[in-house]
Amino acid sequence: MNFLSQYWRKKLIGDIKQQKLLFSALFFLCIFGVGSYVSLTMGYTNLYASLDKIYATTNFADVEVNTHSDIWFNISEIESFSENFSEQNPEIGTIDFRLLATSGYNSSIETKDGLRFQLTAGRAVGFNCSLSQTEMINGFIFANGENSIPDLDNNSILLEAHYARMYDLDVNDSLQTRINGNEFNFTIQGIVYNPESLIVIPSRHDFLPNNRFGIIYLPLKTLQEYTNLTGLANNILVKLADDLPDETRSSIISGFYSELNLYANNSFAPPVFQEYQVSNWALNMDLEEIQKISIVLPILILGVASIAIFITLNRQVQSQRRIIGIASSLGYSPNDILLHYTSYSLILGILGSFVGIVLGIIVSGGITWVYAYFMGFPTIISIELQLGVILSAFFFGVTVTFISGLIPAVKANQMSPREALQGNIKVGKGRFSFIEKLFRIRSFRIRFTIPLRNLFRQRSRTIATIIAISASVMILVVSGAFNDSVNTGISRQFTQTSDYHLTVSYDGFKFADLGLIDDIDFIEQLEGVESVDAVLEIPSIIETSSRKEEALIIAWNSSSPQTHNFQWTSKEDQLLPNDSIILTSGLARTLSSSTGSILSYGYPRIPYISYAFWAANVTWNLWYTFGEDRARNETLSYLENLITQNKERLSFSSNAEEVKFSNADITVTGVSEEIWSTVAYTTVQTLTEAMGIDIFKNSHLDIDLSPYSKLILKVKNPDNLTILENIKTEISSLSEIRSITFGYDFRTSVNLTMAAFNVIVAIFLVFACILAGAAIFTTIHINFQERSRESATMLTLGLSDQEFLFIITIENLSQTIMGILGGILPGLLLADWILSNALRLFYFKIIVSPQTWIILWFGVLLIVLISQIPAIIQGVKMDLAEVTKEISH
Amino acid sequence: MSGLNLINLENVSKFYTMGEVKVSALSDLSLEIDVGKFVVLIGPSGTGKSTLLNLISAIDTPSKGRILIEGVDISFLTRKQRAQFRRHKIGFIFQFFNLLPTLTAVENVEFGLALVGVTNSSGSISYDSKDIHATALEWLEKVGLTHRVNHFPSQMSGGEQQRVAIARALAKDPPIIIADEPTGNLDYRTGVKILKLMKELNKQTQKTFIIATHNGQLAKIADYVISLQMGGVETYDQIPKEDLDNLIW
Repeated sequence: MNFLSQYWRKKLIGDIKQQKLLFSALFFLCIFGVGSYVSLTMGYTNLYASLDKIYATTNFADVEVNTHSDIWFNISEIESFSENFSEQNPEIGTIDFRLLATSGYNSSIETKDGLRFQLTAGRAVGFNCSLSQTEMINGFIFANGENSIPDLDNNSILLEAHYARMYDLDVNDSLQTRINGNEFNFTIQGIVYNPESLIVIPSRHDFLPNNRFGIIYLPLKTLQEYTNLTGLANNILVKLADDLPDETRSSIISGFYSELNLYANNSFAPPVFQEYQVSNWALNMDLEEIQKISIVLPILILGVASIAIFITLNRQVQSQRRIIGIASSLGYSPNDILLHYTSYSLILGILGSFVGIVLGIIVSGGITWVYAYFMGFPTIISIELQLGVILSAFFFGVTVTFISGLIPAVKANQMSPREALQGNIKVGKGRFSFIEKLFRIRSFRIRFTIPLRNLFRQRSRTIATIIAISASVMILVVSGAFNDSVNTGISRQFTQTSDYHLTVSYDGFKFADLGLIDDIDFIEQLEGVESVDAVLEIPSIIETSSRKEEALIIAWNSSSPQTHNFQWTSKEDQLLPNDSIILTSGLARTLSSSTGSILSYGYPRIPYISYAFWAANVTWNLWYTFGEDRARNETLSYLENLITQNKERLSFSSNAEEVKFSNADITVTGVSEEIWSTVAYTTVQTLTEAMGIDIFKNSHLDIDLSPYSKLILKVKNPDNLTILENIKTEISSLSEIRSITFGYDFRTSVNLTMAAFNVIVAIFLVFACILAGAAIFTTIHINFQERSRESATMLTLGLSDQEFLFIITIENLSQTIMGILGGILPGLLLADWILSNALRLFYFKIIVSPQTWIILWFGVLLIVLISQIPAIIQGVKMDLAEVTKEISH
Repeated sequence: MSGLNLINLENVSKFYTMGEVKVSALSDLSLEIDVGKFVVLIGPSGTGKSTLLNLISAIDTPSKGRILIEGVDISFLTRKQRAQFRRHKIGFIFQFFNLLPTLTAVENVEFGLALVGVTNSSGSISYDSKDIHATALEWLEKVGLTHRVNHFPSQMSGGEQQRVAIARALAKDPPIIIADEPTGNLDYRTGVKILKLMKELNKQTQKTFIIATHNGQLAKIADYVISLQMGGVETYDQIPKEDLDNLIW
């Protein structure tokens, strides 16, 4: 049996030929919908596959366990513990130990202002270089394609690739490095990628992808030697046996961790599973975004396509009633008719899906490659054809188009020959518009009455068009609001809120009376420095009765910091009184807290608590040894010596005291509107009191051992780069300085992070414009075909082309305005939801600038004006004599 | 014909190209039509009746020859000028009425009036909606449709719709009324009524009516009949109505 008889085949081809433009627009929408699904889905699937390949090549740790900061373990002790555990639990594959230390680098970078030297922050990783690449956990991919780790002596390192790319460093170049307050000149022996830093993110609390953060890899023994931590490490990597079920994996690790902490008196922070490793976590967030878009976007596009196909076929069935009637009378079965009209949508679906799939596959390769290139991945890119995606895309495309064509086809199929032969097309009868009835308008203005009534004439079509425009406007509003909110938020954060120009990070913690006050005195007298704030940054967990969030607490040395202006959200907000905390608005939202709320906060990783307990004992002992008169100076000198030279004494041993944790209740005294959603502010005094180390301040010796991690500087003339550079040079001569960062470099980093989102926003804008254009084009085209006789009559009666254009434009603009108005509120709600939920680490208050509103309105209206051009040209060119004689439309 | 010539056609030809074939729709036609005449254009299908109407009403342009309306050559007008010409000089009555479905009867009449304005009591052209509305109502009254003023076309019978179309054509006071098969879509009785109305209005207004039809009987009420015949070369005849009885279609 033939699929379609020869007559219907010819008719089908004739219909398509007759409506080339319309068919092309629908075809394009199908290609676009299916193509976007295939390209994005295969894009992110390929990216996942590429990551898996990279992780497999580098033997990415299933889990890593770190000690709390500034606590170290003895490798031989933990090695023997691990061996025992592995014997009982064969699921444990390999265990490796590393030493991680903070470091800083002097590097130069070419900028528009010339060569700039930067003291940047980073991490030194001491690894067991006696292992081969295949044995090593968290191994390397060498940028030059090498496969084996070169011999590394005391002066040579491997350098992470992003930093090398940023500062144009290569093998055999030297890198001036600061570790533990000492400077080393290392020779780079290899440029490497590592699974932990495919996106270089220092930590979950310093989550901005930062190419300026340098990671060096050097032999474990070398790093132990340079940090005075012989035999010690602070990082355990665990690789489990392959293909373990998730439950087994998780129970083995929790067993390992609990026994380890029991053995080590709670010295270890909770294990970090592979999926929460910060770089992997950030990459997955990105890929999840692409995944979400790969579903939402095709649905939107195919949704509009299905509306357009429905309208088109419906109109076709109406206009071909006579043909249907004649065919039925001649004996063609209803099924022939049904098949004919469904064939139209099937052709669209099949051809559109096929072309969409082919284009999608090509574009997916591009997406994978572009993403990998900009993220600075190694060149192991996996691009595979995924049959599942192809089949689902085909099914998706064909089903949507088929279903949208089915309703008009069934209508045709159910039409009685008698009814069909009458041939009258229901194109909507004239009726007074709702507005005319409401306002009792009776005065006639053809320019407005005709378009207004046309809107109410085919209400379902008008509504479909308005919905399609609203969908486009929704996307535009989301894109615009996202762009404005992010840019305004960032701009306000860095111009009004964070009022600083330089930050200075210490290697570890600098104690007030152990050099910090001297440093501040030194810096304050430098030319151009206006003010200096010292801060302590501590990761903590803040809790309410029902919610919990990991946040960075920034504690200031003063209750009114000079380099930070809080952006209060309520009149009751106030500067930092003691025993209080200020939340950023994003955090307040997460915790459902506001001014006056009482929170509990604790510190799972207290880097200096071990110093504190230990130093307290030493201090008291000294006081008794030397007597009160000499005690202060002697104690300070003794403490300084101990802290800098004898860190190993702080290391964990199975006999050490248990690491203690502190929890305290604190009142929220203000909410500041800022872009970070995991940051809270308090004073150092509040924090240290909560930690129980105010003992030093009130001791007989009057020693303030409040710890600080950073200095924040404001300068008088931030535009004077020479003064800034001089300040930086002077500060870099101080001891224990790890990095010095210019405020605008940090801002650039934030902007770079947001650049990826801006690309997505731009893609969305393009999609939205195309959608709006396609929706209007289809509607106008069909309206025009249906009303061709009316149009011809108006032109015959002497309506000028301009007046004709005006009438059509008014109708389309009215639909567009309604579409815009209909899309604004859902768009704003969606944007608000995305801004407050999708970006977990940032909080941007929704803002849509007047410029965006203007661009949105004019942009959409312009698209509409452009989209109606083909139909208008067709109208103006029509044969008036012929069309005015057409049977009633 | 004698008297004042409203329409002059001088050796007018019209060709259409269909693919590679050149088809002659009208060949070397010359004629004159006076003001105020009720002219009926008859002839079998394909003899060029509609083409002739299209040329006179400036919907189409001749391939050869000249068309003068009120002494003005409209053969080479631009698209915009032709629209202006139709607006002011031609009233159209179509076979399928061609009322605008979204407008009521009175608004359909107003549509034509709004394009040209109405002459008010002071003799000047007014585009005021009240003046336009009043004139439209007057014309609907003349065609006997005062009870259908605010009805939409879909709420009216074919005869009523054609009456509205006649009112729309005449209300704007054009010198020429073109009607292409005005009764072709009406039953016999209604068709007769419409023809009577047109004839009456022709007498009252002294507008020139040119009506194309297949209906030979219509020629009986014409002042003049133009008969287009098939043949190698199209010819035209102006047949006095007394000779019409001999015509068989």
